[in-house]
Amino acid sequence: MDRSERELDDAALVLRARDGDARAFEALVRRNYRAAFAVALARLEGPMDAEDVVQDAFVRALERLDECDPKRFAGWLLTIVRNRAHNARIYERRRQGVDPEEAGLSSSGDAEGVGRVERRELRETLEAAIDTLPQIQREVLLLHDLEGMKHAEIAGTVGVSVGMSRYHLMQARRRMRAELGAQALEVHGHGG
Amino acid sequence: MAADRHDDDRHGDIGHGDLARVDLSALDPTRAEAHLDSAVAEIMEEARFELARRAASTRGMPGLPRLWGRVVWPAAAAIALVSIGMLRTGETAIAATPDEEMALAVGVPEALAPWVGQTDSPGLSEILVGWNEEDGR
Repeated sequence: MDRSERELDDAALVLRARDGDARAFEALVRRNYRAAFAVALARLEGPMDAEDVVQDAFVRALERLDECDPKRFAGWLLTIVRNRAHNARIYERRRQGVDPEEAGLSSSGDAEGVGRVERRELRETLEAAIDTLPQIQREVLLLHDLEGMKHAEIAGTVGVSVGMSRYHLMQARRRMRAELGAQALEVHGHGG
Repeated sequence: MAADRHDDDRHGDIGHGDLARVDLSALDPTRAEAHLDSAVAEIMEEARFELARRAASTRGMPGLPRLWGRVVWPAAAAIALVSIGMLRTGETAIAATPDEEMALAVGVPEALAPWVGQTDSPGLSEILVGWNEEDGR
């Protein structure tokens, strides 16, 4: 992505991507990847599933790009991610119901270095803790603490008030703390 | 990006302990640039056909004249064949011009031109074979 793509806003990139501009579409993917991942992960059981859904959602979004209001691309994309994650979850539950052993194979690990193992363990600890949260709390937590959205943006994306977004975040953090202890929590000063 | 956007955490009467941000960076798929590049490349590969389709519909298809030719020339040749046959039946054809040469001159495929001088007409299979041979040249 060169400077011109970075300077364009989503709306301009959407218009170019509609005309088949691959660089514009790539810029949209890079900009919105983490938010899409956060939404998918809030609904699915692991990052691999979440990334599969994100990949699928971006391609579907491109196919339906003419239906999108260019100024609201991010919210529109996250709705697609949410729906596809929901469908994937239903599919996965059905699959596990039919063949739980086969479903368990996807979590088997490869030979990994020590650093990678530690990161994987940390990821799995976080995932397990996030799994204990109600879905709305997962989504608010991931959008706020992973993607870095503000409550006003989260409220618009998730469909709750700003006050409820704050409430859900607070509840999610309390619960995460109870699950994780102080290990994975990072206390910020009053400056931010 | 995430860390510098949490300035709206402070609000109401929630205690500071409740504001502690959970460090979820281990889950961040964009943290490792190589991983993000790989994920983006997969998406772009999946999107390649749709992007090409959109680009083609916007800029026009370079192969369109050729596609047009594949449809129009055989149709024109068939019309010419029928017309020549009708002219000959009515004995109004120009006698000085050999039938085959005239057929070739108006674009009838070479494989079909000999039929012009005949009293019977080519069947569908002969027409199709003639067009295919012409197309293969």
